[in-house]
Amino acid sequence: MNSKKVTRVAMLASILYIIQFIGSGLLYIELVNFTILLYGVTLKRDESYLAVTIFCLLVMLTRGFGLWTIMYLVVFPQYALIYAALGKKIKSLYLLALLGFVLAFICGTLIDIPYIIAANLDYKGLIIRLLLGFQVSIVNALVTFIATLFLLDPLNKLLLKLNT
Amino acid sequence: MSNTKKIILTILAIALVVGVFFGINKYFQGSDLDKTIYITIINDTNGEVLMEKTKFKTEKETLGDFLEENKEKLNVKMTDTQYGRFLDGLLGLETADMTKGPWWMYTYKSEEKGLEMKIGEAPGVDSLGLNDGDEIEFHYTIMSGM
Repeated sequence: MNSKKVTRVAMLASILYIIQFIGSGLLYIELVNFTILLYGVTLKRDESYLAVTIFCLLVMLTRGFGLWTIMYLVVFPQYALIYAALGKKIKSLYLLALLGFVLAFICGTLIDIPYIIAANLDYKGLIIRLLLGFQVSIVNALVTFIATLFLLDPLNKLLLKLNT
Repeated sequence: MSNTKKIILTILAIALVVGVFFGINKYFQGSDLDKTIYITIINDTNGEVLMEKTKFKTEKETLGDFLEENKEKLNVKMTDTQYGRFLDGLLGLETADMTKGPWWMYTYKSEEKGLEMKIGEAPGVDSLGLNDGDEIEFHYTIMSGM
């Protein structure tokens, strides 16, 4: 990997970290899922995977080695791979926005899995936990959906320009 | 894709999300009518029962508002967080170390809503709606429900 690529990956990871940091103060509005979608669809697979992985490691370094930061590392780099694999094949912006909606919606539940297992919830407890989580996830999913519809094309062009 | 199509889709998506959001909210919503609730407070670190099934009359919709209403009587200490208020202290017992505990946790039982939540299952005090006949059991404990 040449130094230009290393610098680019570091910058992309830093941008993602800043977006996550700003969003962490706003409970329902975060653009991390959209940014990962953007990286996955626009960049080369290895670049987007590395940028997202470094972002997760940065979160872990700065926020502590906790269950949720480990789950970030488990979930988000795989999302970058999914977007890289599917996103480049999907030509319709609607479908891409829908994919972003679905993945952003299930993201919170995936990150919550270790907590759900550790809490040893009964059937009702599980439903309550999932419903409370869905309340946050569905708004995040909506934000990802709208951002994909309106921001993906212009930011895609911008990122491609930076790549040349 | 035309901007009109995008805007229509966005409005439809917002409508769907608002519907789901408030639907879930309604499920956990309390009643703002006059009601009776029962409070038990236990210090699990030494097994002492500080308050046993004591009857309270309230019109407050959420547990957070009820605690605020009875701030002096129950010696309540709460902190504002981005997720709503967090219960730090009750009856003079306060969490000293947030990483190790003991913390104030609670169980919730509502016959009216058909809900029963163990320690760690109940949502935050501002998300927990109150209904007539509800029973809340506060535990000063190192058990986080996980």
